Amino acid sequence: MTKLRPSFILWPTLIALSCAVGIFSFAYVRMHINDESRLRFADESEAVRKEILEESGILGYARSLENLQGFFAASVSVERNEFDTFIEHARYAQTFPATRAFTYIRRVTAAERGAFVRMVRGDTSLEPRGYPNFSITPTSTSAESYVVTYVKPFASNEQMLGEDLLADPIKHAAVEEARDTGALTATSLFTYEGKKYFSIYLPVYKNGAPRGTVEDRRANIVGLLAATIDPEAMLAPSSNTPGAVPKIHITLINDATGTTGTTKSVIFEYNGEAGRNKEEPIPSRMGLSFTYQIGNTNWTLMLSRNITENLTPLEISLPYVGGVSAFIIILLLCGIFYSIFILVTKTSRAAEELAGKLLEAEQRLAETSTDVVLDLDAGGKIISINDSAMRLLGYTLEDVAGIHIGRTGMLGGSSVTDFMRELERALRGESLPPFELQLVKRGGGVLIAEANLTLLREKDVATGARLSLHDITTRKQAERALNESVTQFKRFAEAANDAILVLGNSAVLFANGRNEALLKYSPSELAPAGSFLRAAVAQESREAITNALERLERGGWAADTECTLLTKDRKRIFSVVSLSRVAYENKPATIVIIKDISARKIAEQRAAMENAIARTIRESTPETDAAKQLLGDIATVFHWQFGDIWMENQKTNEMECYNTWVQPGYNLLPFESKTRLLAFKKGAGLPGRVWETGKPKWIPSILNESNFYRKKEAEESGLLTAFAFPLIVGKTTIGVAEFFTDSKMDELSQELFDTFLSLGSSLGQFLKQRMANEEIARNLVDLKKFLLAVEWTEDSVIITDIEGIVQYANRAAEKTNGYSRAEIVGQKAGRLWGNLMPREFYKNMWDIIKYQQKTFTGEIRNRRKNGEEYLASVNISPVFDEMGIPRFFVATERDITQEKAVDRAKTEFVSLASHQLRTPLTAINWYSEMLLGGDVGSISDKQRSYIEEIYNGGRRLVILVNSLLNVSRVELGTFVVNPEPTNVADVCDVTLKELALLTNSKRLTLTRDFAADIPVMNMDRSLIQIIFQNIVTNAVEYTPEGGRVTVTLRKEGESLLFKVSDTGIGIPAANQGKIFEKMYRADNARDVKTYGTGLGLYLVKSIVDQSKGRIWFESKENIGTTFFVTLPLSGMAKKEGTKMLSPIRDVV
Amino acid sequence: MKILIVEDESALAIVLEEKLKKLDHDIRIAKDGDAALPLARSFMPSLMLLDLILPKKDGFAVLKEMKADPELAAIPVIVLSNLGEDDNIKKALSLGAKDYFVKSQHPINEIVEKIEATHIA
Repeated sequence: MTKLRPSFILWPTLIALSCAVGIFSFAYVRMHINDESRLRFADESEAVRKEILEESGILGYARSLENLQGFFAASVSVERNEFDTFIEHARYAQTFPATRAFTYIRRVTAAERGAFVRMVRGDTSLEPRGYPNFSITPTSTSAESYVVTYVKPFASNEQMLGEDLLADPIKHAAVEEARDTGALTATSLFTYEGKKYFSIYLPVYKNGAPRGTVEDRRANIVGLLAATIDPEAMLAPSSNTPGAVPKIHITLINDATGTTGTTKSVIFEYNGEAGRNKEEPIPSRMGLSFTYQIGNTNWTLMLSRNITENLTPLEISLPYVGGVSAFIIILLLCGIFYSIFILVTKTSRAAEELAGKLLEAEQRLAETSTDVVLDLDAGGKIISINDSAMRLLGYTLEDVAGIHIGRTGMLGGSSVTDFMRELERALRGESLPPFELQLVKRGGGVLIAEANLTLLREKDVATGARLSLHDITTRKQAERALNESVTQFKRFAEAANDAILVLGNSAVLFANGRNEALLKYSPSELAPAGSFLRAAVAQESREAITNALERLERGGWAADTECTLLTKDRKRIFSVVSLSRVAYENKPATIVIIKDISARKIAEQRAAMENAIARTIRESTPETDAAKQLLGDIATVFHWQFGDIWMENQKTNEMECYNTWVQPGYNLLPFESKTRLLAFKKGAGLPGRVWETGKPKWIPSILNESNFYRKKEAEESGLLTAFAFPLIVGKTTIGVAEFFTDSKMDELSQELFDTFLSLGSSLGQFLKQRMANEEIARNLVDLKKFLLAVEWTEDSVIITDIEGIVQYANRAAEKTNGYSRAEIVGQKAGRLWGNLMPREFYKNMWDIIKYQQKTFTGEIRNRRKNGEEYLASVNISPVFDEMGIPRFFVATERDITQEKAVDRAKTEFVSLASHQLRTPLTAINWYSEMLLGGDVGSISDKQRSYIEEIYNGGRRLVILVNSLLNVSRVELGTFVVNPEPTNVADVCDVTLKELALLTNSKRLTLTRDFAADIPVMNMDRSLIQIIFQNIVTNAVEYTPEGGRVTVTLRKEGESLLFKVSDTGIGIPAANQGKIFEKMYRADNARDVKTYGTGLGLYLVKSIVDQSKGRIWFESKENIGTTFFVTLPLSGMAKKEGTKMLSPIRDVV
Repeated sequence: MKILIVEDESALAIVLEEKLKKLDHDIRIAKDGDAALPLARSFMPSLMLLDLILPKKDGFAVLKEMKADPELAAIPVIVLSNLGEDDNIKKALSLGAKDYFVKSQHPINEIVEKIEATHIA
C-alpha cells in the first residue's frame, strides 16, 4: 500500500480536532453553568423585588399617604392633634419605619400669611405653649407658599415645621406636579440634615370641589400630605440576618419630577457584591430591571450581578475541566484508533512480507533450477515464469504475464490440447506422471521438454498449477536422429554441447567429442561398456545409474539422473545423465547424454556442508564424537575419503592428531595409523604449514609434494590430493583440519576457500570448547578417584581454607572426633574438638603452617564429641596453587591414644620391672659385700670364694638389668638424645682411664691415636660414652694378655671416625653376620668372657643408627678385630623421649 | 652421727644399719613414709637416707615435707633408690636431696664413704 506521511498530516489534525472538541465542551458547559447562574439570580432578584417594590417597599409606603388622604377627605380642616392621633393609631411609625416624618402642608396665600403664622403660633392643641417661634422659612414674598404645618413625629423634626416647599426646586416641582395631577408624586433625592431623603406627596383638595381638570385642581388645592422617606432605611436589606443579604447590585431609580421635567434619578443603590468581585463588563454580568408606576412616578428597579458571582469554585472551573477533559479524551481516542490502525496494517504488512518472502524463496528456487518453471492460475493463465524460461525460450514475464498459456505461442501445435487436458487433470487433484511437451522458442526454434504439473493450492483450494519443463531436446533429437540414420545421429551428436555416448551390450558403440573433453577418455579407451561404467561413474552414483539402466532394460523409462563421474585423471564431475533406449545399427543400445552441472553442484555442496555442520554442532552432546562427525559431514559432501583434525598440544608445542574419519567402505589403515602417530611442529608437514600461515592449503598432488611426511602411506592407501584449513579461535590457530581424497581434486573455488576459512572459525570455537569439556571430564574422573581414596582412608583427613575453616572432612575424621561432617564443615578446625593444648602450641602450629608455610608435625590432645579425650599424631601441610600462594591446609590425624597408652604401659612396666629386680639384687650385692668385707665376722677362704661367686653373680645381674633397660628404651624409641657441645676426645679419654686397671692387669699395649683437630661436637654425652665404652671394652676384654689395642679418633670428611683395633680372638666368619643382633654372642666369645650380655653391640648400633652414623668391623679369627664408627660432624639430633640410656658400668 | 634410714626393704635396712653401727653411728629406721617425719622430729638426725618407693607416703612427699618443715629442712637427705631414671634423679635433687644413689649400682662401702663425707656441723 502507498505510504502517506501520516505523522505530517495526522498529528496537527488530531490536535486541532481535539482542541475543537475541547472548546466546544468548554462552551457548552459554560453555557449550562451560566444558565444555572441566571436562574439563581432570577430567583434572588424576585425576592429582592418583592421586598423593595411591594408591600413592604415603595407600594406600602405609598399607601400610607392614601390612607391619610382618606382621613382628610372627610374634612380638610383636620386639627393638629387629630392628625397626630390618626397617625399614632394607624401605627405608622411601626408600619413605615423608613418614614422620617409624615407632614401636612398647607397652601398659604400671601394675604393669609400673617394670620397663618399667628394661628400656628397660638395652636395649643398639641403643645401647651404652642409654637412661639414658628415662622415660614425661608421668608417668602411670593404669591403663595406651601408650608409644612403638621409634623409627626415632631420631636427631632422641629425644623421641618414652617418649611416652604416652594423654596426648594426639587420639592417645588413635585408639589406642582402633585397639585396638577392629583396623584402621588415622588421627589428625587434631597439632603436634609446631612442625610438623603425623598418625599412623596399626595394633594388634598377642597371637599366636594371639582378636580377633574388641572385648572380645577389648581383652584381647589388646599394642601398636601407628605412622607419623607429614608430610602436606605426603607430598602436596604437587613444586615442583622447574615446570609440573607443577596449578592446583587441594586439600583432604584425614579423619574422624579425635576426642575427641567422628569429626570431619572437614583433613589437608592445597594451593592451586595461590593468587596467581593470586581464588576465585570457585560456580558459577564446578568441584569434584571422592574418598573412600577406609582402615582406620577415610574420606579425602576435594576438588579445586576456577575455571572460567576453565585457560582461555587467548582462550578466556575467546570467548563475548563470539561473542556480539557474533552480535549484529552478525543486525543486519546484518536491515538488508540491510530495505534490499532497501525497494528493492523503492520500485521497485515508483516504477513504480506512473509508471504512475499516465501514467494520470493520459491521463485528463487525456481530461478536456480535450470528447468523452466511456470506458474499458472486455475484458468491456465501465466502468473509467473523463471529465468530459465528467458534463457531457454526467450520469453520474459512481461511478454506472457496474464496471458493464457495456449495463446502465448509457447506451446507448439497440438501440444496445447494435450496440455490443457493434463492441466485439468492436475487441477482436479490427480497426480500426474511427467509427459512430453513441445515448446516453441520466441524467435522460432522448437524444444522438447519433459513436463511436470503440480497443483498449487491455498488452504485446500486449488489456485493453479506449477509447470516445470525439463529440456530433453537433445535426447529427443538424438533419438530422432538415430531413427533416421546413424550418420545423421553422429552428425548431430558431434554438434551437440553435451557429451553423448551410445552403449551397447558389451561395448561403447559411440562417443562424441565432448566426451573426451569432459572425461578425458579417448574413444578407444572407452570400450568395453562394462568397464567404462565402472571407471567413469563414481562409486556413490553407481547404484543410481545401475537402477536407471535396469529400468530401461525392463522397458520402462528412466528420468534424468544426477551422477558423479570420474574423469580419466580421477577428477570428479557432477553431471546430469540422460538415458534412453534406442536401436543403434539394428542393435539395442542405450544413449547416454551427459550434462555437466558442476557449477550448480558447488553451491549445493556448500549449503549441504554448512547445514550438516550446523546440525552436528547443535545436536552434539558430551557423549557424541562430534569431531569425527564433523569431519564426516564435510568429507561426505565433497566425496573425500579421509579427514582428520590436529590440535595444538600446549606442553610440547606440537600439533597432535585429535581425531580421524574414514569414508565407510574404505580401508586407509596405513595412512590412518601413520597420521595418528605423528606430531608436527610449526611449519612441518601439511598441518604444520597451515598452522604457521593460518590459511587453507590445497595440495594437488601429494606424491609431488616435498613437505609431506606421510607420502609413502598416502601412496599405499591411494590418496592423491589433500586439502587443509586452519581451526581458529579469535586470531589464533588452535588446530588444523585435513582432508584427503583418492580422486584428483579440482582446486577449490575462491568461494569455497573463503567458506572454509569461516568454517575454521566456527569449528575452532566448537572444538576448543569440547576439548575443554573433555579435560574437565577427565579431571573429574581423576578427582573422583582421589576423592574416594581420601574419603575411605583410615587416617582422619580434614581440608581447610587458609583461615582454617573446614571445607572437607573424611569418614575417618568423623569417627575420630565424633562430630558429623555437617557439624564440622564450615567451622574453624578444632573449634569443636580442640583447644586442650596450651596456647603456645596452637600459636606455634599456625606460625609454622601459615607464615613459614611448612608442614607441622606434632602430637595433639583433642576431645571427642562424647567428651572423651584422645591423643593424636597430627600432620598439617599447606597446599599451594600454581603461583605458590597457599590456598588450603590439609590436616591428617592419627589417633595414637592406644599406641601411647601401650607405650606408656610398656615403659612403666619396664621401669617397674627393673626397679623390682634391682631391689633383691642390691640385697645380694650388699650382703655379699658385707661378708667379703669381714663386717660380720671372718670367713674362711673357701667361704670367701663361694661368696665371691654370689657377689659376681649379683653384679652381672645388675649389668644385665641395666642393659635390658637400655634395650627396652631403644626398642620403644623412648630414649632421650640430649646433644650438647661435647669434647669427644675427652670423653674417650675418660673411657680409657676407666679401663686402665683392666688394661694394665692384662699387660695390654694401649695406643692412643687422637687427631689434634677433633672439633667440639653436639653429642649426647651418655650415648657417646656408651659407644666408646662398649667398643673399647670389647677390644680389651677379647684380647689375650700381652696383646695390643689401638684407639683412633680423627676427622674423616664430614664425619668423625672412631676406630678400635685389637689383636684379639677375632670374630669367626660364620658369626660375623649376626654380631649386632640382640643377645648374640660369637662362638668363641664365651671362652674369654663368660658373662657378656650379647646386648652391647646391639645397643651401640642402635645409637649409631639413631645418630645417622655408621658402624662396621673387620675381623679375622685369632688375628684381631677392628671396629669402625663414623658419626656426622654435625652431631646428634635432639630427640624427645622419656628416658636416658644409662651407660653400663662394668665393675670388674 | 645420728642417721635416720627410711627404707621399706628390711633386708637392706638391716645391712645398712649393721654397717653404719660399726662406724659408731646412731641409727633409727622408718619402714614407711608416714613414720618418717614424726621419727625425724623426735630423733633429729644429722642425716637421712631416704628410699623413694615407700608404702603409705612415697619418698618424694616425705622429702617435700621435710624441706617445708623449718625444723627438719636443714637435715641433709641422701636418696637411696633403685629408680634409675633421669627424671626421678632430677626431681629428687630439685626437691632438695643432697645426693642420689642407685643402690644396685654401688657397693655398700662406696655409699658409706659418701655418707661419712656428709655431716652437719
